Amino acid sequence: MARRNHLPEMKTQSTTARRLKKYAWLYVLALPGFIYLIINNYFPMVGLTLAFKNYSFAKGIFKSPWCGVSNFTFLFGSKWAKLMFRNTVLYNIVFIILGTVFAIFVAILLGEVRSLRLKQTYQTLILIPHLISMVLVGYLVYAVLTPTTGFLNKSIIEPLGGTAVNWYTEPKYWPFILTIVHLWKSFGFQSIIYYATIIGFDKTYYEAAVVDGASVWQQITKLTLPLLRPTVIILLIMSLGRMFASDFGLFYQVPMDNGALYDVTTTIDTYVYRALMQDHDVGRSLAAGFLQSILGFVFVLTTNAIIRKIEPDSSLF
Amino acid sequence: MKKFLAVILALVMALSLAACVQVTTQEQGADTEPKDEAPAATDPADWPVLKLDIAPAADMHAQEDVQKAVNEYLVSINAGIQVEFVCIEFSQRGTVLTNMLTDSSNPIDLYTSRWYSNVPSLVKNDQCISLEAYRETYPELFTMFPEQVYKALQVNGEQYALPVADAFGGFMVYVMRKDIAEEIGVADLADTKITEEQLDEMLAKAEEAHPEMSWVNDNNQPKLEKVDNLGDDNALGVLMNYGVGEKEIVNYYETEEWADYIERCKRWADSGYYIDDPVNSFVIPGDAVNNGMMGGYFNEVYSMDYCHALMRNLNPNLEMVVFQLSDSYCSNSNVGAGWLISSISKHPDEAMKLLNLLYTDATLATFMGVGIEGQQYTVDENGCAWYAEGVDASNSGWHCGAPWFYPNQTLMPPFNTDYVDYYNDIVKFWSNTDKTFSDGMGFIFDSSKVNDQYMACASIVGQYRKNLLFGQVDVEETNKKFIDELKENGIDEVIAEMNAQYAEFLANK
Amino acid sequence: MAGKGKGFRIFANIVLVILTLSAVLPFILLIMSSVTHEDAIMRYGYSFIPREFSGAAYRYLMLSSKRILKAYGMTFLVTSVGTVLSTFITIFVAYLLSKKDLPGRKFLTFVVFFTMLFSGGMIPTYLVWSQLMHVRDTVWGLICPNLLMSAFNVILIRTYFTSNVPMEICEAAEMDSCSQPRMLFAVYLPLSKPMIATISLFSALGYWNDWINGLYYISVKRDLYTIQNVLNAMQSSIQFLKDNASAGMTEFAMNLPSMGVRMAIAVIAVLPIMAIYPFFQKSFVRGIVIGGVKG
Repeated sequence: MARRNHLPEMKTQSTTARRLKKYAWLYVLALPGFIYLIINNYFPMVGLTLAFKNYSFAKGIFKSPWCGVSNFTFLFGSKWAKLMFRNTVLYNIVFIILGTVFAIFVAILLGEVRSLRLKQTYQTLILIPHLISMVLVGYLVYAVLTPTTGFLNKSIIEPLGGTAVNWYTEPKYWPFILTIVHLWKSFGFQSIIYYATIIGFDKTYYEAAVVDGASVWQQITKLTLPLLRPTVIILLIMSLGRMFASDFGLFYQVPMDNGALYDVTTTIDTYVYRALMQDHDVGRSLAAGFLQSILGFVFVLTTNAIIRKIEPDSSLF
Repeated sequence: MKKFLAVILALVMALSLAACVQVTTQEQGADTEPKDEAPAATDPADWPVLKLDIAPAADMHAQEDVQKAVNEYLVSINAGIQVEFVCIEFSQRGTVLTNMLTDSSNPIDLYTSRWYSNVPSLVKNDQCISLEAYRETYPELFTMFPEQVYKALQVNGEQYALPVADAFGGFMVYVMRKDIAEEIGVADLADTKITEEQLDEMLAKAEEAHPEMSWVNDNNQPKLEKVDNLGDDNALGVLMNYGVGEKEIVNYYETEEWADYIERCKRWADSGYYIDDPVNSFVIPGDAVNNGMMGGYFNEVYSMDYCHALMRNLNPNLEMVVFQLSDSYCSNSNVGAGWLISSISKHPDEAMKLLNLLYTDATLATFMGVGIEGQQYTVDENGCAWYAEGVDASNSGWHCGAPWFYPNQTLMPPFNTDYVDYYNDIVKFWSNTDKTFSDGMGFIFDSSKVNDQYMACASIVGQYRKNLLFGQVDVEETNKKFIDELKENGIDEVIAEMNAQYAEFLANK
Repeated sequence: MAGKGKGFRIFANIVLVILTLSAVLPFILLIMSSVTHEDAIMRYGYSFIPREFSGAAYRYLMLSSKRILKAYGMTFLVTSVGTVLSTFITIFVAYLLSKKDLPGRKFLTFVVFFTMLFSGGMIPTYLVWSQLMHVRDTVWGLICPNLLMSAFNVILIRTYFTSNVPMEICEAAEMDSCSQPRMLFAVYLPLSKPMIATISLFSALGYWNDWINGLYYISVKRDLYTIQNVLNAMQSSIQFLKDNASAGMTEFAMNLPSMGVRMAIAVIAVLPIMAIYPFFQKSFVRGIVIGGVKG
């Protein structure tokens, strides 16, 4: 890599000053954004030191005593450690893959609709799930699944002659239920990102393809998907940073924090919440967050390095 | 390389700039200090304004009016303090109070641990100050309740919180619709103490007569399990037999009593006594009886009279009968919340003064509990307070339904009940002798030495306890798994540590 | 295209109708439960056709209609100011980072991206905004913390700029001695309308749905509450009192249609966004038209 960069770098040095001047106004325009990031994001990162401190509310961030790594130990060693890391990562992998495929699929379908009114209706309505809070999604899921009065048991399974299922005590169904709920809630939002990207593509490519007699399928596989690649890769890298985080609402509110389901619903975030609910231990909760960030960071750097090797233009940095 | 530079640069930026935060904090701290030393100002405008934690309601439009009325009253008694109300949603107390307790530039002064935390954690996190320095100035505040109750809010022998006035004890009852009790021929047992067998028999008959109704709403109650759970809802380590005469803390889930109790619960569940989906449902038993879903339910009360008054209130159109299930016991689970002075308060002495007023001044306590007379409430000729004309819970603009949130509800007129002696009976119960204290009353477990095991085990309890209690799972198999997992994750170390601390506690008594 | 694509278009419509229904049906269930009598839900379960109608939930909300209207006003103010500010700040940063030969580009991108990975947590953020920036109990407390700029949106726009704005057009503009800032408005923005509409939509949704800022930063001046704060306050106090209704408290437990109110609250919180959405949609459509013309 060093060799490849060697030549351009010499050129860079000679023109850096010129380019700085060329873009001077752009730096000025972007300044408010960076100041905001410093205030909103970088200042508070001082708080990460609390992961290694016994936080005292009276003494504040700087004067609290250090305590080494003792804030981290509660995440390891118990039966929950294996469970929560496994669940968090596996769900995220499934969510990322299915979510991306599904969103692109919907975006392509949206692009095929000719009637503007229909297009508008679809887009508005598929966004509804995104607008409902997870707490309410939890109630909706409950309305569908609750054993005796739920819609699924009462209006579908029983009339069809099946036996009612006690959904909230059967862990085996929940990986599917959680995946469906996640996809249901997120597909509208994600597919609108991809749709906005697709309609920005240069129409002349498609016209040329039609002249060459390409079928719809060929247009999708040979044009749309390759053109979407940079966006997909960037979104993928960004989601990998959250590889060890999870949507608290989805894993806590939707299963109603039911103990019988803990084996399949415990993620790092729900365990930390349950463990610290009573004593508001700031150090421990930051320790968990710090660990999640570090692991996500490693994931992102690795992926980014790989992508930079294969396809330098698509890498994030 | 650049990335590392980026991280380092970011950290440097953050550190240097966050240092500014600290500087501003200190400056603000500095310019308020001289005020403390100055003699109490005579002009109320110069009196320190204390931030006081108040209970929320759906609609708090009267907050400013009540605050104004309270401040005017404080001026009239020359209290030397003014208040500003801080209203935090119950369900958000965790995050909001945590934030506020860090904010030394704009500190909250007085708050309650209710639905927030417990005293050992608050002390561990340095969120409150010791009240020992005020013991001599306000002796009454440290003696008005039974001594054991104060103990439950002490850490290392120091009082950090003052208890919220409550009955601090009670017994279990089973309440049933009178017509049903008559129908199944048990009405003559009303107001007497019945045995477990009698209760089970009664429930069986009731279910037979009314299979459409449910009979058990919530059996997740330490008094039904006959233990002192030492104030921990997970019951990790309990004293058996309500804690009376018990010298050793045991792993409750290994005991035969627990096994028997969940057997019994499973029988109840299989016989259809429970409400639908008891683990997830939110049913208020009073409402459920009113609309015919339930025919009876468990409750914990401190006197029969109180229980009857409660029933008249909850089920105004139905007659209910009450069966007593146990004697009166006081254990740690009966000491709910305490009031504390925050560690960031700039006026701890004045905060203590306000706390004293809240515990002893009836006018102030009434303002806090039920608002302004004529606006929120009126008092009838018996001395009971009711919502004022045209006012109800949804539009009163004040949390009239939450007098138990404040330090001393017994100073207020009974609210929304015709039971004139409502509070008098609570006060009498403090010195009543026909109740028994748990030996562990006042014992607080400090889990810091076995924290990781404790947290892991608490989560395991969360996984199994409720479903076993509500008979949702196979008892024998699940309970075995439950016990094994607790063992694997260090329950024995937790219990051993508890016993070490408990022995010390008993020795010091 | 017409002949060959027809079959696929029909397929697309069918699938989209199914997906739209799957997104909407639960919401209809929500609306229906908000007008069903609470007892009927307990007895007969949740269904699309209410057995017993009841307007109790909406009547309950009507009681505080003044507060709700005021809070709606606050939400509109915060959402519009916040969205405009946020969109401009985001575009400026993204535009800078989209310049491939920009000195320090990788570093600055990293500075932006890093904020997505690490956060100092709730308390340090709160301290910065309340003690350093003094936004507590002001409208800026609702607009500034966390919502003003998201690294995600910056990177989304940056990627869009680099991959969808042809270099040739930029070079042509440079030849015409078009300054860099002018080029943003003359070339980039018109070509990126769909994506800009998208991120302003995201930002608007973020503001519309947010109740955390109100919860943290509005502690005394409750008249600054947004609709989500008001609804959240109603919702949580009802639920919490019910959940914690132990002996001392049951006697005061309010006789409120809790589930129905909660559902009704969701309905009135969602409807305005559905009304606003078509305006954003127009930008999408314009994006297509411009995209066609430019070639």
